[in-house]
Amino acid sequence: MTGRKATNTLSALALLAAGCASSGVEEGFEPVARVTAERLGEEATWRRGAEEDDAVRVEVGALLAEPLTMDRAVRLALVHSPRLQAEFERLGVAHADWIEAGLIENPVVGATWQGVSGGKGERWEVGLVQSLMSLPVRPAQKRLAALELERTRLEVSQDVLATALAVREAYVDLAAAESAAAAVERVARAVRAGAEFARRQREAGNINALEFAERRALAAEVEADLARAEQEAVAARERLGLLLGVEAGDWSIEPGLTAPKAVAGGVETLTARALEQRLDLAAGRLEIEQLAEALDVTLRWRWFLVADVGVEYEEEVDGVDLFGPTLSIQLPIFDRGQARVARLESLERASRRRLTQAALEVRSGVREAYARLESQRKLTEQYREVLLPARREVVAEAQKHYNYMLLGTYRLLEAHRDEIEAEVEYVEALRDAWRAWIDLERAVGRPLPLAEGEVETLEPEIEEQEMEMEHEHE
Amino acid sequence: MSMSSGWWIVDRGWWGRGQRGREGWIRHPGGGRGALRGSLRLTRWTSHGWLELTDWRVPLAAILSVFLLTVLASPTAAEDLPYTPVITPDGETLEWTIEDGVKAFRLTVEEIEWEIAPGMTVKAWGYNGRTPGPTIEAVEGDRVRFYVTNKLPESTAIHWHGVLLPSGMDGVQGLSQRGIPPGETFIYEFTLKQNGTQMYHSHGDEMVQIGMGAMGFFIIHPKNPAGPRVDRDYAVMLSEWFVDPGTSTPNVNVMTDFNLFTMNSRVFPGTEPLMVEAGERVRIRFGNIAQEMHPIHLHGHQFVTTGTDAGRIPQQLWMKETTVTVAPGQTRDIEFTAVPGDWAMHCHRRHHPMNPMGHDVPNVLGVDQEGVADDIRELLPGYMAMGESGMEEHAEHAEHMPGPENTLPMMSGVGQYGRINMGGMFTVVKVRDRLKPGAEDGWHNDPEGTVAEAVGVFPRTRPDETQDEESMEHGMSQGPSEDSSEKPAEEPAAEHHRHTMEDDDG
Repeated sequence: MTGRKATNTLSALALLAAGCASSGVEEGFEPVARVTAERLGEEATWRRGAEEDDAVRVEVGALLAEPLTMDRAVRLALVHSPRLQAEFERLGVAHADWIEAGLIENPVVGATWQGVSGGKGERWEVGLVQSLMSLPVRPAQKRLAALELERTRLEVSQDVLATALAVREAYVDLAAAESAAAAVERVARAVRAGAEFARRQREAGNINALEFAERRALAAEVEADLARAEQEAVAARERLGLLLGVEAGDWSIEPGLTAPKAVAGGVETLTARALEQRLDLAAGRLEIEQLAEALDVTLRWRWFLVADVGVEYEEEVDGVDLFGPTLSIQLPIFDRGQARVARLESLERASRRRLTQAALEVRSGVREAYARLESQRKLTEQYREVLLPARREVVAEAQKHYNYMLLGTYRLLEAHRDEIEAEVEYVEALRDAWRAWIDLERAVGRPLPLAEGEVETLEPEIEEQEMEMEHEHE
Repeated sequence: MSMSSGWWIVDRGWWGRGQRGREGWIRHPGGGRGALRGSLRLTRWTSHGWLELTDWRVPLAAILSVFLLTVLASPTAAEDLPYTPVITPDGETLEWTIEDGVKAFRLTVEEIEWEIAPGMTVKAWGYNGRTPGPTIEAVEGDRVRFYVTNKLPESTAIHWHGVLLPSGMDGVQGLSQRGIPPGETFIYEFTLKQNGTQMYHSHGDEMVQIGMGAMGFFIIHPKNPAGPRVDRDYAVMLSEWFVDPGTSTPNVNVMTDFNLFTMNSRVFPGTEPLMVEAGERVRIRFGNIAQEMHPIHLHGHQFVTTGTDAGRIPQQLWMKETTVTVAPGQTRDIEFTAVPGDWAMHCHRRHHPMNPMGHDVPNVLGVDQEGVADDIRELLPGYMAMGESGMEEHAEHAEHMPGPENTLPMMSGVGQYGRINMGGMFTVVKVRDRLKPGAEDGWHNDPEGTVAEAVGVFPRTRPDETQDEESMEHGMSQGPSEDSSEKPAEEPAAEHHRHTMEDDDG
């Protein structure tokens, strides 16, 4: 073989390699962005450069300038969270793996020069070897790598969803904690007023030391409750801030919690959708497919024995030129690939079992979350419609009895306190209802209530992508 | 004897328009309220108000018709009553008919709605729509017959408290008779062999039924009255109730912690005043079929206790005082001669002339609530500090602040000099020189110099110069002339009287 021919081959290969490497990463992210946009209502952004970073910083600044709503908090996390950005880079890695899977192994050139000791001659040889081991399996490996890329996309999307739901949960916790702290503060004010009233009574000689001590003790207990409630609010704020990737600056959230809406569709519908649409289930199915494909390839090609082909040129000491092809073959005596097969079989079976387990967990998760959501919503309704109005009426009627000196100041303050504590319980019930809602979302893998029409998954994308790539290289 | 009887009263006073019910003290054979126009000033302050005289001139026809009716009506129509009829403030007298020579009365006991005072109505179990039930009046020697219809949800019987009668007429359910089942009517009949202020009340499940108001007066006038003639005769039934503020059904399970104390089942300011003319001899009969004893105190007079439910007390035993204790099961008649003025009459147990109040409210007398009251108002916008300087401020607040429904403020009532701030077992005896229509809403015209006022408002006067004619007259007239008929153990004639500043001997 001439040097020029070798060079041409090498350059062609290089070009091909270069072309493959630079294209396709952004397109690789697009399905992720699209699916998460559809499932969350917010688009995720993968920042891969400084100007994107600057653009996002502006947007983050705008989002933090006003009190955050649940949706805005999710958006903030999707564009800003460093952790998510790190996750997205997995796509880059998987994409590179996919490219690498399509690359042919480089040929190896070897040269040896030997001089006869004493300087009475030399011998040199040059050889060019191309490994062929991977050749027949290369398409399959590319397919497998594409599946792996797909699976990574699914996992990343799942991660984005999980993050968004975690943000929602942390948001709800924070809103509830802040409401509770504000309410306990009102209770504290009422009890402080009662303690001050008692102090005045004591000064005038109208109550004894026993009653005065009891009133002071009551006030002190409430102060402790207040401290705990405020501390809880601070901790919840840190948790949300961490998820969003913002420091504890002066950002805030909208006060108050609304009640989550009712879910359309019963448990059966939701379970069916969940089984179809859960990204992690789809990833699990892909994994099974991957392993089945790998097993298939291994079984088919384990008897392919040819290892290397090449050419060699040798110049002997005595000046004789030798030139010819080389061939090496692996003898499958010890390792007949039985271990690889067994491993893959085991892995594939494990993968199936895991999928079954995952499906079980999904079904159970949907049922449990659905039941919890229903009962929590009923509970919040009970609070809103029955308990809180009754407590408010207790205060109003107590005020009337107080006006006629039929009951005293302490009882009136107690009625007020009972009303506020009922409000706190209501807020906690709202928070628990939201948590159940988020758990249900997590279980179903889609926003609730479900939209009508076509169920969208990522699977169709794989075929298109692969064909495109093959077209380029072939 | 066969038709309904009525009687004329011709007396000094005014005729006026009857306000409610029919007392029967002026009835034509045709019934209805009478309005007699004439030059005679015919008046009566009755428990039904005034019979109104509107004109001095008398149409001849009216006089003629009266005359004719008097002449032509049955003998019973012109019959004079041998007694001054009793007035039951906020109440009425039971009508009767004559059947077979017997005075027949009809009583129906049933659940009723009863107004304790304006602003509060309760469920009660009363007779003929009232609690206390209508006052029964008869004369010693009458044979009386009662048709008692039971419309309660349980059986009942009526016991004639203090009346001497056959055992089977005594009205103790199960003991004297079988209980009157709901829906049925029983007859009681007996001859009256006594006189005095008796009572009648339920004696079946009495804790509940009396607790709900089933009681009334049974006044038997003497056949041959002795002693000074009484010009006005009033009957006041004392009782207690517990009505949880905001409710309208008395809780008869309460035994000691009552919150409403009533005279004729009314509380002040819903109690009707007792209207009297100056110089009249007044008798007030108190009855008590309740749980607590009540020392009733009358201002401005000294009275003698002249009767119990066993009849008249001999004059030698009359004791003078200003407060008479009426325990459950007792009646007491007191008599006095009225002097002009507005005189409070009330139970002297400190909490009884009060309407409902809380008893375990914090003691805030003297407690400085400044600052803390504002803190509380920030949490409870309707909050106002109360009670620091006593209850008067509260009484003012209670006027414009809402209380529980169907609940009376603890103290209220307004007189001519401002807030009276009383409630419960409190009423006013209004004594006037002459009673005119509308007097029950008016106030005593205090002669100058006889009102407690700030220093310098009135010129100081010496006692022997103050006596205006009227007060002198009345002051003296209530004195020894009446009381001289009462025998020993009396103070000298110069009575302790409001208008007399000191004894004559200085």
